[in-house]
Amino acid sequence: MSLPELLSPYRVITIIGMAKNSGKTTTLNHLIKAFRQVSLTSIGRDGESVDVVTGTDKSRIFVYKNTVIATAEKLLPLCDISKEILDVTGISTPLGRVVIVRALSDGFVQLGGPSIAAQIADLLPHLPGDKILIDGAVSRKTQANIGDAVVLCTGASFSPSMVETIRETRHIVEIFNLHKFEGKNYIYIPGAVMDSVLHGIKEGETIVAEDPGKILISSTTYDRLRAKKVTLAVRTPLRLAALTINPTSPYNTGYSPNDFLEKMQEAVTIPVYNLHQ
Amino acid sequence: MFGLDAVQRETIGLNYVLTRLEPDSPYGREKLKHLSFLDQAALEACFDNIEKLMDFDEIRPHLAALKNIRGSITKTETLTQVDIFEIKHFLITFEKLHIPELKGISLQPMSDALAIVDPSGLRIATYTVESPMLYSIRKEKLRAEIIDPLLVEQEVAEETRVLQEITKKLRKHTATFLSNMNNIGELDLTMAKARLAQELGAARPILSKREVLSFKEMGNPYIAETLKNHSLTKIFVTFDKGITIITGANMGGKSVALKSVVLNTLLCRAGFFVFAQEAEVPLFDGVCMISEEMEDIGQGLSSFGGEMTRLNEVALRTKSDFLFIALDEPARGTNPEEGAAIVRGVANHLATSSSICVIATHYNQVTSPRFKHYQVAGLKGTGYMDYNLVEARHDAPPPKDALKICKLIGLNKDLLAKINKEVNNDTNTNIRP
Repeated sequence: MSLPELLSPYRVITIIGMAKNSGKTTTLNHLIKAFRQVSLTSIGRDGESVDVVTGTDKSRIFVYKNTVIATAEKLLPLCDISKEILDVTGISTPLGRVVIVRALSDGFVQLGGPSIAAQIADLLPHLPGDKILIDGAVSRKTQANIGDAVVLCTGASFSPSMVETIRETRHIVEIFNLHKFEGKNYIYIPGAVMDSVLHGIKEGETIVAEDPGKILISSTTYDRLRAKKVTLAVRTPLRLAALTINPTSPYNTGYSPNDFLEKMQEAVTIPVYNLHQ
Repeated sequence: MFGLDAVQRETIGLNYVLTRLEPDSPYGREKLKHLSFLDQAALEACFDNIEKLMDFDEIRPHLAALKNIRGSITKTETLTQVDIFEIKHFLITFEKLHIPELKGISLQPMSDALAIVDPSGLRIATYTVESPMLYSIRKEKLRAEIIDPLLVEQEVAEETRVLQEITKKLRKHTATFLSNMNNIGELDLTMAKARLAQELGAARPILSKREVLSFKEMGNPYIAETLKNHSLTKIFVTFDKGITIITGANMGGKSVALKSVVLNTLLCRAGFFVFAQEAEVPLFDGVCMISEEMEDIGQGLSSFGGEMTRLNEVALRTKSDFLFIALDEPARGTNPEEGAAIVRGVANHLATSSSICVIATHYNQVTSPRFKHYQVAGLKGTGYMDYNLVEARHDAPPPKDALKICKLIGLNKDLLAKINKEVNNDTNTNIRP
């Protein structure tokens, strides 16, 4: 099953990356090409948007005529679509208010949506259509708990060592796939779950976090918790639907595409796609 | 605001009233932040408008849809597409504002400005920069298989030219925009005042040409709200030029009466209906209140020192201004002999001014045949406080309610017995003339 086929049941899809250049834009463009009529915005990529304005970020998203995008006021001059302003929201970003724009032509756009997850809820009613794609932040932290499905992008830009990239990606996939805990007798941690959780936790106990985005422990800590037979779970699970990989990197020589795909598929239980071919 | 500090605004109920006032538009909210005393003509116009705007609410959704576009209207740079979207949205909404004839509030038609941002006249709320050239560029852009950077460049250049042209045209309407925003603000605020008067039951005051401040069945919605289940006595008072002394026991409601008078006087001067069946309010230049609740007066002075400094300022102001002065328990923190002397001195001094001054005090020796005198009605046979003010002779004996209040609030019997004993001793040794 292709990635678009896999994602067709979901309305709001968030795409997040393990690192810069891990293939977030390629994945977005791939999905836009497949779905055609979509609404687009981004979440929590303020830093990246500033990079866009300063010219350090060259990643561009290609949209088709009639796509509706929600982006920051100051990024509009960097979009080469013909624009129809549909609305101006009350949501502020470092690059001005978030405005809703319809593309009157095909073209490249730059997205700078809300900074925080809570504002996405205010924004979603402004966005039409049955496919809304959200360009998530680079980093697994906090902003992932939006939408009906999440696609994680990983690649050679994360580390020159493929072994390390696979190990860390598998770790994030496992955390993101943590289940909702239904039983009794557990320790609920309302905020972020850090490595320090290891101290003071007894063998066989269960830790419940609000959602996977709140679990910021390292893979080493995760392994140690497992060795202690500690169960990790969440109150609000995520639907991590797929993983996309980018075997190339601007920082190193990259990995062998086939080898990377094969090893990644062995490491995780969710579908893995290489869209960089 | 209005010469009161933040704590006083809170305790008299002004904040409560102003928070209940909910203008729908950003322009009305701006006006609310800059309330001030109005002159006689403006007040009469404002009261007429409030009467006319009672139950007028069909334009409220349009007012609520308005956004603050002052920034776009006054900016010096070329307007952006987003700016013009907002201006267009403002103008389309503005077109729907049909209002009755009012005094001093009118909206100037803006159809010329709307024609600039909506040349097709379709009144669609979205906005695209348009021109014949843009039309052909975009047509070509749509035909092209791949994005042609040259076309994009041409489009941007032509859009910039059109935006500059529109900016130039709109600039001619800046004054009309600003005037209309100002009038929308007034309209919105006046509608909010009318709603408030209906919700909380307020009536149009009479602007007195005499130096008389008078309220019949006056209330205070803030204090009524804080008392919840207890009903607040409606107060009848008339203060003339010169001094009025209000005496009464602690807990006797002197303060409540004074705060309510200050609240309603301020509201009237700022163009609100007042919380009274009838009210006659002269055109004070200012309202001064000195009370226990004032914010720390600072300058390292004690609260007594601070109070006297304020009093000094007020006394100086009476030389040039016609004031309403409310003194709530002045010199309360001082020993009774000096305290009473100070209050008498203050009263005698202010009596020479042309202002209206009300002093609430528990020092009974302050009254004089030259001053008007109100007493709090006090405890009635039913065991409840009657907060009403009753005019009394200057030599009327002070109501001795303190002990009854002690009993009412359930002081323990032993303690009450000890206090009673002391009171009896005291009256035996210091028999009053």
